[in-house]
Amino acid sequence: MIELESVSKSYGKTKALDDINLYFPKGAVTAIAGPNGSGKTTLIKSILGLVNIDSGDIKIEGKSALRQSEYRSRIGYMPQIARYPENLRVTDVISMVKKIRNSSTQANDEELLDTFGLQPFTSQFMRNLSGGTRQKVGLVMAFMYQPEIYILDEPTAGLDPVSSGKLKNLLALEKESGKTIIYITHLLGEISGFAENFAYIIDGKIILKDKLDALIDNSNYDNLEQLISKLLTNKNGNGNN
Amino acid sequence: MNTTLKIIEFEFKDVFRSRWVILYGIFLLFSVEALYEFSGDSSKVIISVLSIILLINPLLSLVFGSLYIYYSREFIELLLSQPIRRSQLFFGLYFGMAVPLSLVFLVGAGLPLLINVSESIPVILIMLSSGILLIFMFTAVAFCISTSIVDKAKGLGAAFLIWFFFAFLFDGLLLLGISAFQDYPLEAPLIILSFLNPIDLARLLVMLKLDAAALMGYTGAVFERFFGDVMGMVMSFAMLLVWLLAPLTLAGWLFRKNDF
Repeated sequence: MIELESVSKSYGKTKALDDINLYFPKGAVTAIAGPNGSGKTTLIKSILGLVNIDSGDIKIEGKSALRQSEYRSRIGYMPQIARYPENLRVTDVISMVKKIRNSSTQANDEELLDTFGLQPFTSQFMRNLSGGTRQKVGLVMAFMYQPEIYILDEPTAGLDPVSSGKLKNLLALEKESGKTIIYITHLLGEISGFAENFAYIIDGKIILKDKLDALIDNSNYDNLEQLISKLLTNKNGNGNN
Repeated sequence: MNTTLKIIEFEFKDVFRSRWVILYGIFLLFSVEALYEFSGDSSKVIISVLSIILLINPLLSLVFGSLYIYYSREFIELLLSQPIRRSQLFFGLYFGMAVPLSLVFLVGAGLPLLINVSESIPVILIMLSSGILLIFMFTAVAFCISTSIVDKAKGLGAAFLIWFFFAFLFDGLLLLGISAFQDYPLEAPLIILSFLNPIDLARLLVMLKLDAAALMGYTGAVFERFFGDVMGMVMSFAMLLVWLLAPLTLAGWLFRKNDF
């Protein structure tokens, strides 16, 4: 579905993405993890066209997405930081995205507002909302058109456990209906039993990628945290030598 | 409705509800009204209002414009993740900010002037046009700053520096240059130098119409002698348009080229 071919991106002398090759299949959740500043967000921003890559190609169903905008109608994006114009109401923000998107698909924003308990806040100004509530507004906008592709950047950050659970249920349903889901996180615990594919990125390089089950089965470790921890210890050890 | 207009519609809502923009409108309204009440002389009122406009409009456009983009960065990212072109979003944000600021300026400064100083309507209209041009121009400069400098504090510092340079420093440096090179023919270089400051150009435009040569300053006097009243106004207006289009083109290019 989405393919990154030798994608590189530098900010000055810092390599944010270094020759990344990744494939995100349909009907599966691909989790991308890595420490802060490792390049996770740059990677998804490259897919969205927010960051102009230096070299390589990004293909959506075989077609290059570089310098295109229409393909984004197939994507639901939830950014890491939910910040909106403070003088707009919740309904204004949602309605703005709906008008820009101008989709023939019926948006199910009302249903999502109900699900995440946002109905009492719809006429409130964004400046008066808590971080978690703003995060839920972002969630509604990412999901309201039930797009083919979901790109979610640390979606549970700031969400209460109940809403996190609802989000996971929603994602499970979308996955079953054949959607492509890219899930960025630095919390390895939350992707076990949920994501099929896994990639770990450090300093702009993918150092580990495989089916999540295969990764753990083929290692001597019980879970992903132990595996990554060992990998990082080895990497740092080699780096110090 | 096209995408740019849709963005402008929501930008209007946001900017018109901003307490800073409302305060700016109230400040202008009370200042102009108070000046008229205390002075009564229409020429003096126009010159005083002009001084306020030349200082406040660039400052407001630069600071409000830069801060607005900095605080909207995440929302701009969200909008850019929708199926829209960057140019559509750029013009939506730009006009969605510059037009409400201009309308608030028109109501705050224009309304009391047109009601109270009805005998100088052509001068007032030129002054209001200059004020609007300055808003559009410095909003474009604000977009250049906020799309090219990622750090908010540095960006805001740059906005203040640019304002300080054009509002105060430029004339000081010019006077220093004139006194240092007073033995040389300075007319031609001064004409060129006067094109380099949009705030001075806006002042000249109004002063030439007002025929207040004594208030034009040295560069203004040279400008008038060189071009005459009408040609001088045409030249300064043309240069103001260049000053509007140059930063706007640069801002649009930066917005399309830069990473978010």
